[in-house]
Amino acid sequence: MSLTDKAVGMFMCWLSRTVTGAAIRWVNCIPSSRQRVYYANHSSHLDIIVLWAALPSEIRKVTRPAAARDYWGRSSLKRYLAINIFNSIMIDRPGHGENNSNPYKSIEAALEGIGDEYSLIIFPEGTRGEGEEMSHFKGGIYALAQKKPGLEFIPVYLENLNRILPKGEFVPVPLMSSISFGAPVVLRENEGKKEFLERARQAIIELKEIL
Amino acid sequence: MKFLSVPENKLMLVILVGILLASSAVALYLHIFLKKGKAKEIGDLLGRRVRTWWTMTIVLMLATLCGNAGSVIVFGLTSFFLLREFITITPTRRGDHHALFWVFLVIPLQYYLLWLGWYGLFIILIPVYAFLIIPVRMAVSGETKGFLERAAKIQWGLILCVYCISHAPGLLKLEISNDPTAGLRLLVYLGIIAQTIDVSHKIFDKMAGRHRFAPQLNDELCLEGFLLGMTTAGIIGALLYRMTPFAPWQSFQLSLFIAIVGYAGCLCLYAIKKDRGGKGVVIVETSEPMIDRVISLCFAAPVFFHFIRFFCMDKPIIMF
Repeated sequence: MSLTDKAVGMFMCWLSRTVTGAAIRWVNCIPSSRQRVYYANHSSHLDIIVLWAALPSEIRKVTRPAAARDYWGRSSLKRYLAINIFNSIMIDRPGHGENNSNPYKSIEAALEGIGDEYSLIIFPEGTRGEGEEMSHFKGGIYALAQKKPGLEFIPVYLENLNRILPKGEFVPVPLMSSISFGAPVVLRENEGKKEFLERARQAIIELKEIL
Repeated sequence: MKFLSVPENKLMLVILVGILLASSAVALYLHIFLKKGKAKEIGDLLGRRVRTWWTMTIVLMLATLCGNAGSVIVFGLTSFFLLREFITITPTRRGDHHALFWVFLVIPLQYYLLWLGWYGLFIILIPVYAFLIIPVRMAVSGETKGFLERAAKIQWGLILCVYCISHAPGLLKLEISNDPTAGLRLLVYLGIIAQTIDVSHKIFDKMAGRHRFAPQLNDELCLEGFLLGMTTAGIIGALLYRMTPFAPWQSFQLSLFIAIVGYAGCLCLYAIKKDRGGKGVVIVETSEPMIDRVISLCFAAPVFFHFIRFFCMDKPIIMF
């Protein structure tokens, strides 16, 4: 990582914290740099930046977001931010680009990208929602949990970002937001796909309600 | 220094520091020795406020040292933070996004007019132009559900957090008795009285409250708090008469006037809070929201400004 990249990274952190006035809280969860998966509700392009900036710097260093190639690879600026600054793993979403059939190809890419040391940031809804209600989770996180037993999934609730920069808008409005990290969710023995996905989704909804 | 060559300014600094030290001492005493029940609540309230007052005083003094631009920037930023908080706790809809973007652009415009001293446009920019443009932008976005209510929320935020507050530094622009620092003294005077009514009515409600008069708004609101708060504000106002161009008796009446308007502001805020029912205020709930601390100032600033402008300005006011 070059010095410029570092400076840009620090600037992005500062910018994201000022624009979104983000309040960060850890609820029943202790920050740790062990390998984890941070999964969050998705309603804005800012989500990835804000969540990344909300992590303590030593954790941020070992965390890679999964970024959709069809969006983050589109222009050279986005590509620069995604690869050099966020150190993200470029994922071909099913139905986009070369990957048009196999949903597990993106999981393999993610697994390869995090190896045994990096943590991962993903948005299991697959795409941005309108922010009112979370849609159902795609199967990707279940596949991840199966491949890496014991891996901790940290639910993250991002509030208000859909008001700061909603889907389809280009200019953000500087409101305040909050980012809450919840208690880890781990795949239980013999837990089915449907139950796990629902439990993981419920963990985010609970974070929303206790606040 | 020119500023200190006016004896009233020296007095003002002494008074300010005196009030800050005295209230810090009381807050510290309550914090250390009284840890139960009402005394603790009062101690917490006072402790939070005392910290705010220190910040306010230091920031205001530093800004004044930087001259005209300094105070404009400081109050502009205050408006920005207030408006951001207000819009955050007020539910808006997807269709309001563009309108909200323009709302935030009004802040630099309003304070630029203040900096220029262009009174005519300063006074109508928000109530006329912003008032009309915001609903238009919302209508163009096509979302009609709750239109009037949504427009009103945004306009209220703008009036309260930008328009009203901008009248406080507006005092600095008034030319009174050939003394360019008279406006600053009046600003400090306004701040002290507004904070006095705000804090004292809450404290007296807790200490001596018997007769509730608005349980629908807030359980703690009592007649005793109102009356004792008014009396305190009036007495402090009379004592501070040398910061104003008035006699003690006049200053007493003027501070009662500020206090009544400030109290009215508190009532409105109680109503807003009750309506919101604590929902959606997650983000700012951790400490006392900013708007709580300045609501009485928001209401009192424009009224006080016009009062001073009408009665004290050197140049006669031209009617059309």
